Amino acid sequence: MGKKKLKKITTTTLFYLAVAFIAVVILLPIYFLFSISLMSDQEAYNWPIPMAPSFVNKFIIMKSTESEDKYVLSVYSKTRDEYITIYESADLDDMISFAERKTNSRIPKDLLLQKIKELEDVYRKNESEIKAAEEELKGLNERLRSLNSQIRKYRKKMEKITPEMTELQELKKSLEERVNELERQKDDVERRISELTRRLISIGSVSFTVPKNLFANYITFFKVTSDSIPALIRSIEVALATIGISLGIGGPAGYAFARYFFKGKNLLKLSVLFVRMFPGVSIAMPMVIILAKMGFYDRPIGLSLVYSVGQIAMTIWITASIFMGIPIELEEAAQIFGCSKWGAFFHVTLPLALPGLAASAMYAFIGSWSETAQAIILTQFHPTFPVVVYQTLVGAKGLVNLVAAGGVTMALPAILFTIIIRRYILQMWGGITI
Amino acid sequence: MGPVITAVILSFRDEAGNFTLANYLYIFKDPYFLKAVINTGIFVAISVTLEFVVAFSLALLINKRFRGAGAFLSLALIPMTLPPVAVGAMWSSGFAVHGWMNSLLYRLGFITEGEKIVFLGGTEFQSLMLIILIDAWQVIPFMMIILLAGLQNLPKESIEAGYIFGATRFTVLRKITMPMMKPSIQTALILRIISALQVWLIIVMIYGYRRIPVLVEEVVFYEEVLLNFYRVALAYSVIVSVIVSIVAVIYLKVSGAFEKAPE
Repeated sequence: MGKKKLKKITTTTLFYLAVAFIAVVILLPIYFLFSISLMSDQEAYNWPIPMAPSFVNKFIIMKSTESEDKYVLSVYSKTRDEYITIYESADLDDMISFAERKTNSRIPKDLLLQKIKELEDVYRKNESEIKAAEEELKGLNERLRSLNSQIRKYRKKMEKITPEMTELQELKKSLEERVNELERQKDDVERRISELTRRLISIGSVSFTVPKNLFANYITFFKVTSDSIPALIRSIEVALATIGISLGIGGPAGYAFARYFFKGKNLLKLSVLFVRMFPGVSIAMPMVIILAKMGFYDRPIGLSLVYSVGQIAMTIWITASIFMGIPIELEEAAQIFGCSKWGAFFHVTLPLALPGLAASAMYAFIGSWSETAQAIILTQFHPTFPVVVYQTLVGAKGLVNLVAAGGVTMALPAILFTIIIRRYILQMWGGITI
Repeated sequence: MGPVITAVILSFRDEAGNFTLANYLYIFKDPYFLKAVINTGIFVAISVTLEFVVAFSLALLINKRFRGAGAFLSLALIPMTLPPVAVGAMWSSGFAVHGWMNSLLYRLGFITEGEKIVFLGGTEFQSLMLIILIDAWQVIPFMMIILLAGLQNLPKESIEAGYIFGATRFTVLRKITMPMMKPSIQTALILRIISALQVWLIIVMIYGYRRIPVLVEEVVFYEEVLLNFYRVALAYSVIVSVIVSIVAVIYLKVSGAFEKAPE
């Protein structure tokens, strides 16, 4: 009895582990996309990338060693556990705007001035110590440079000695020892430098935290890609027009399929398949000519016409199944009570079908919103939003966090609507009820 | 059908509007054409097999009512409905040398500082495998849902009958479950094959044009990147459509779906 119970617990645990594993695999990339989209340049170009975006930036400000009136601004990096210098200047406005670009935190000028005043006090108090540490640091840095150049020189010499030169092997060995010795010294010097730097920070700096603007990348994305706000509006226009066309034609057709002849269901499924058989790009290319003739090329309405071709069969399929689920007896009953045929439809069937129709509208929205391949071909000077994101992605490989912001902007409505209409999608693909 | 016919007619014409085969000949002479056909073939074969096997195993594994099933299924829907550009952004930031994949592996202790994996630097075949994995991430959950639906609609009695007559798990799966699920399997496979034949956007987003030539990518390459190759692109798209239709028809014929349409 106990054994059986144990076995059951084990299988259940394993089962849930498997489910959790799949969920993690699905969610992880989405999580990282989102998380990177909230990161500042400073975080996103770090190695390793932090596992989560930070909400505040911790800055320190120090006096420059080069000149009296310059200040050095550094920001704390969580992943490296050290302060990274980002700007050295006497011009505070420059410093603020650079820091904002780099860290997505706008340091208030008052705060900066106040901190600089504090810094001067700290400096006066610890002046001798700071000077000594700076002096030592200078020497150490020089030593590091000379060590590095020596190591390079010896390495070059060693490379010249190939294994064939037997008489020189002895020399090579001694060179190797020398290099190892130098490397050890270098390590020591480096350790001392980082120690001193930390000490300098503790005695000669003032720290402060500034909240980070989490959505800075989103704002920058819309600013940098000048086309993106009109593109976003166009995308919405296209989606709405697609919904209008496909529901306007597909809805009545679906009703007809549901009420008047029942045999069409297989035909419909085949036609859904048939539309998918032609690559979207293959349909889009000749459409360029046709739309140009109609004067619809490079305009939202043209795009939505093309999208509707792909959507209508699907809409008919969905709406037909919705109307089939509403018994015709209800309509008949309404007619008996004195409703006209249209009245029965509008007062009885339509309200019942409304949630389903809304779902099919959202389905059309997701399709049109996400569509990229055809839009790349069918637009030229007036791209839709996915095309703008695509161009940023393909054109500028460097802007990881900006592209991520664009990607998230694309993904959010799609995910939202998918979750709202999940029941219908799941049902459509074979009637899973949840 | 209008656009398709226009495409066919235009693809046989030259600049002046006379009949010509030059567009087609150009494609067949292009060394990238053969590469594209082979790559597409490899992609379809491996990705469809891999995705089907994994999705089917997963469907069998989670084919029971459990707490959180609804949330889990909704979650599984998300990758498929994600916009392609979002998926592209996701993986191109992931597979960069300093991307989140390497960062994650580093944090979990699988690699050290010096062993960062250069995901995007492999041979053409390795790159294709990477694309297959990315594609699998998007498709497997969805395929699993279709197959799961098929599994849940099966009458339990027939499977129980199989066990009563002494069949092993595997025999039941092969002789009872699989044949009874044929319609769902067919739907899942045919949709998948058709869309696998048309893969291109994700490849271009991660590798750019002509690193891994595939059929539809070449069409877009001629249309978008090169100028004055519009007719070649059209001819190319006609060839691709013909290939897709032939594969689809062969598949439907072999699986016998013509006599009994799915469902």
